Amino acid sequence: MIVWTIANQKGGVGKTTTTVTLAGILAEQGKRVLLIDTDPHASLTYYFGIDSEDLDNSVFDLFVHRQNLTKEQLLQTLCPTSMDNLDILPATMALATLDRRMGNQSGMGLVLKKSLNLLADEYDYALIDCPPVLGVLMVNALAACNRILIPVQTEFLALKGLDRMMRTLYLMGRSQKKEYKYTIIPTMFDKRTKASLEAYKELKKLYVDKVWSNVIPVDTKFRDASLAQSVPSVYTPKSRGVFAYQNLLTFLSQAGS
Amino acid sequence: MTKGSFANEEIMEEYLDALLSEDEVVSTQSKPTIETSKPVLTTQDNPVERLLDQVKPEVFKEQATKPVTDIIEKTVPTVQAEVTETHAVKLNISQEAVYSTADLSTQIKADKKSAESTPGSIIESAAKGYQQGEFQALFFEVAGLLLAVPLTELGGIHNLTETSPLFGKPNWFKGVMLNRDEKINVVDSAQWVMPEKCQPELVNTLSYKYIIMLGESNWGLACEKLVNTVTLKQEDIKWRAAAGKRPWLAGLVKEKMCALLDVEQLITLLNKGLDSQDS
Repeated sequence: MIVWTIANQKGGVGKTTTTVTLAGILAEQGKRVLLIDTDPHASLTYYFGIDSEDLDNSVFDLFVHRQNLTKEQLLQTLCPTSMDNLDILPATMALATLDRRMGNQSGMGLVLKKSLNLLADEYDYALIDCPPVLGVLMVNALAACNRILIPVQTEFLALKGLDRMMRTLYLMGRSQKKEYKYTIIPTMFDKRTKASLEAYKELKKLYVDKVWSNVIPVDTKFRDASLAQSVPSVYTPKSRGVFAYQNLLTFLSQAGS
Repeated sequence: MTKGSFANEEIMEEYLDALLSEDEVVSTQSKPTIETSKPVLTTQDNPVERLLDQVKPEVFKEQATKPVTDIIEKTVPTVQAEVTETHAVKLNISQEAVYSTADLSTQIKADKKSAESTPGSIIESAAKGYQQGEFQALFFEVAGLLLAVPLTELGGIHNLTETSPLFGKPNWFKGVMLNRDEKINVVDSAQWVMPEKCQPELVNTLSYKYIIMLGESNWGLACEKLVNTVTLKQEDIKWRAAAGKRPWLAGLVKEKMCALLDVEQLITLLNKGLDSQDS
């Protein structure tokens, strides 16, 4: 199973859109895909019309039952979506209390990694949507993945926020004694604005080959798709946004897991 | 966890090392808490907890890691009794979920006394961290009334299941709910906040679904709807100016014109058996 974590310590940069769109395209290609929502806001969960507060189980239970979690229990926590090949491990608002309740216990950063190991034969891909806050949940998401996708809005303030994320990756890498594979994805690019062009130029200058050589354009169709609770590749397959994500997927496939 | 602790890269690194350590050391020694049936990590075994202790104010560190007798020996005589009483309160809260109001009043008095004898700045900074910089708050609804609680003060959210009412408790005490062997004292929030409006017509329409747990206490506020979490800035809040009036109100969220709860004060009032009007 290939695990990608979609993370950035800044909010509103397109994390959930990236997660949903990539997952939708992969599922359409016949890949078995699991989405994991680790954000207490549960935007990804709500995207699929699931009211997480009505659920009996969620990502939160992985942490509560971490000592004796079985594959069967884990499978019961998953929710199917309206799309074939696409399931979701939902979030609840209770996740917001995780740092306070359990964030001071050793080994808590590896709960998600161990849980996904149990599901390695069930899915081809797992995509983890992160909260925009550094804490137990983000540490878990980063520790569990093969590659980190960092969506960055092409505007100046977002570049500043990227510094923090890179620092976290550096420290995580040192702690785990490994070098993280990561790809910076310029998002919400609007070629008509000077700000977007300048930010993209700066991004390339600072992070060189770590930046994907293409961009995800601003596309209102993403919003329409989320309103319809449908993945963009199904709702609006010909849109330029979906086209850009298809290109990204080709790039990621070539880059290896 | 304080902001300051993350500012230091070494501490951050040690925090990550501990979170990402494979060897989760579990001690079978039980803590005197309600979760005694579960194995728990001791502070001694637990690098993250040890690390957090390093950044805690000394007074908390001592209380958390040393036996009461040690603290008594090292504390000046006038403070000894009060420190001991603080411990008694904490242990009792863990072991029993329900008290008589009289017992609680006595304990809380002792607790309050103890808090007063502790340097104010330490208590303040630990309890009211959200009064600096940005903080997230959970908004929830009770009988059409919107309330907010800082996430740092939120002990958890549970689905409301069956509650067992207790004889002799105030109207606002909805009952005790069992959640994973833990007894939760459920507060009928509408009765507590606005008893004057709780006529049968309103009471009959109330449909509580969730419990908002207050800090690390066993008190939970029943609520009808979880609205959302919002990041708030200091200027978004009109902080309560007078200390004596409505202590359970930390301030007012200006945009939504809703009450931001002071969880610490709210717990104190609930322990005393008081409602919002009594305070």
